Amino acid sequence: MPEDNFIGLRPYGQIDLDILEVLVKELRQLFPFPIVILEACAPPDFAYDRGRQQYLAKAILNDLVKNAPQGCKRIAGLTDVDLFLPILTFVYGEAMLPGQAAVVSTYRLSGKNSENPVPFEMLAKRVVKEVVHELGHTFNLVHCDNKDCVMSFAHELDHIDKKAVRFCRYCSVLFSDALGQGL
Amino acid sequence: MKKNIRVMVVDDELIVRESLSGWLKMDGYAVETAASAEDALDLLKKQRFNVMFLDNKMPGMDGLELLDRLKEEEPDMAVIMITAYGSIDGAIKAMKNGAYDYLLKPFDPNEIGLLIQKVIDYQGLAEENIILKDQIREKNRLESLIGQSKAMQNVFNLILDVAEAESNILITGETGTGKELVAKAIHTQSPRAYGPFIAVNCGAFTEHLLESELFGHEKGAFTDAVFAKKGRFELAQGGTLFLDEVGVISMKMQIDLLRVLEEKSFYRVGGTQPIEADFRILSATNRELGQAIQESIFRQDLYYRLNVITIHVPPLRERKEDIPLLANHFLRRFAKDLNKPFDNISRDALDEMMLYDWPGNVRELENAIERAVVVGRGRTIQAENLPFYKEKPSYTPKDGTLKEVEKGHIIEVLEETRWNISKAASTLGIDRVTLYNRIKKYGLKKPSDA
Ligand SMILES: Nc1ncnc2c1ncn2[C@@H]1O[C@H](COP(=O)(O)OP(=O)(O)OP(=O)(O)O)[C@@H](O)[C@H]1O
Ligand SMILES: [Zn+2]
Ligand SMILES: [Zn+2]
Repeated sequence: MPEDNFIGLRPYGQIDLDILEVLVKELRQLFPFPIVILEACAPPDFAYDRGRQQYLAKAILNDLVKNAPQGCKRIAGLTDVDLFLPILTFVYGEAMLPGQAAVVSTYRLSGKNSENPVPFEMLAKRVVKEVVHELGHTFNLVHCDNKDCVMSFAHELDHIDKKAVRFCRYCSVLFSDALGQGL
Repeated sequence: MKKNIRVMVVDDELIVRESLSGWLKMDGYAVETAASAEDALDLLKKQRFNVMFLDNKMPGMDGLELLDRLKEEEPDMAVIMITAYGSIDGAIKAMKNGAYDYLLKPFDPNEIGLLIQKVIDYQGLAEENIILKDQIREKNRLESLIGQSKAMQNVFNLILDVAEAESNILITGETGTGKELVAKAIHTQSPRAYGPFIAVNCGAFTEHLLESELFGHEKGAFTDAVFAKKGRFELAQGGTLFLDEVGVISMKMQIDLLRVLEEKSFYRVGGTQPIEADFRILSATNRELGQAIQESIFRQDLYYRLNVITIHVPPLRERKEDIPLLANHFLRRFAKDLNKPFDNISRDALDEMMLYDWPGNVRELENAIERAVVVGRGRTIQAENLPFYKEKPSYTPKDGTLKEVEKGHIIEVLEETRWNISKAASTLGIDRVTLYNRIKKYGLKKPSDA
């Protein structure tokens, strides 16, 4: 790797390159680190849970950390499989609070699980918001009560579409605090 | 941050502990975990928790047994049972035994958040006030006077400070701010607490009636005086007399009152025997007496007698932090009085309340909640149930055809019941088949749940 202290994006399986490009562009606006697209891995079969027929998000986080390249400050995995936590029916994404890794799935964001697949623009925006949100967690940000803030917890896709790509004033301050503490 | 709310997760399965506590931490709660009921009890010895997620089935002491003990030892903590599909019976038993609610594994991510929010609203823990809660409980001894705002905390402190003394106190504040409650609280905290608390709304009587109301009268003192009657002064012997709206009393009555205060005795109307005036006077006014004094409508000497100490109760719009607490307090009371299942106020409704100016102050809030409980359905107060809610264009056009009105009403009920057909049908008073037919007829669609 040519760079140090960067945020790496790790595709698991097939992830639309256009989406990755939008992500890089948007993340650059928000995080003061270089954004690097890493080599893609195979789909995360290791995380598959037969009983749930979904993929365990925590397992993917561990895999991300284990295989993170040197100098990678944060690593965000992207996948199109349906993620879950043992206690939750599903999650759009998951992250370490704080920690190195985050993961986001396009499975539900793309609407492919339902009858209404969404247009590219919309999907890209959703993915960006969720990646920013999960990366926010890796910087120790917790859910924000401000519904417009990217750190607000959005369960409904509708809410994801409504919230902004940005941290609110309050979360921005907490984010710079985290950077100041060397997180 | 939003939550000084302490949550404990009790489950023997590591994976459940980790994923649930992980999620809760992301949502901003302070979380501890315990792998057994015994560990949970140990943790509880060290600190208080607001909410506990408790697994039904555990080796050793199981969830239900722990719940039983908690009922005694931690009555304020909300316990939410974690239940697997096969063991709903246990959860239902737990609910009967005082669990707050239960969640089926795995949970819908939205559910946990909503559930905790409900607990918070219910316990009146709204936003960063946990620390204040103990103090509030303390203040609750002040005759159910509720308030967590700085302004009200000051009022509470003043009440405690002045209660001991015998001095007369003037309580000022707009209508409905709780002046009478403050007066009662002073009485309850004072050495006269065992004596009576007698309130007189001076504004409610004509001059003549107020005189006989306060002083009492002897038989035959005036035409209507067929019997002798004790006045409020006498009834208040040994206790506290509360003169509400004292600013409106006539000049003559002001002079009489001043004399009672100076001589510490009075006569019934038509009476010749002096009676000792053994009561403390608390009075209240919702208008500035300064102006009235300048205009010589209110006597300055009486003012000084009544107003040895002033307590000002601020209007509700200047202490909006108190709204959630008060609203939930009234909700619980009216839900109980009216025997309705309300236990929650929707975010929207709360937002509306926070935005509103409350010219009638706490009394208006109280009335608003009462009305909402009367007209509302389900368990949650909705914004539309509030009297001051401005109708957003709704499904029910006022001048709509019968059909449109019916359609709108059906949509509303379906949304309220979250498309639970049986519930909706029973609310609408029709059977399910009829409801299905209507849904088809009007082409209604259940909104896809994301
Ligand atoms: N802090 C409070 N906590 C709980 N209830 C309150 C509080 N303040 C006011 N209330 C309730 O609001 C209503 C109005 O209060 P109260 O009669 O004391 O107001 P007031 O200032 O004396 O009004 P007015 O000037 O019109 O006589 C009462 O039902 C009272 O119980
Ligand atoms: Zn989150
Ligand atoms: Zn925020």
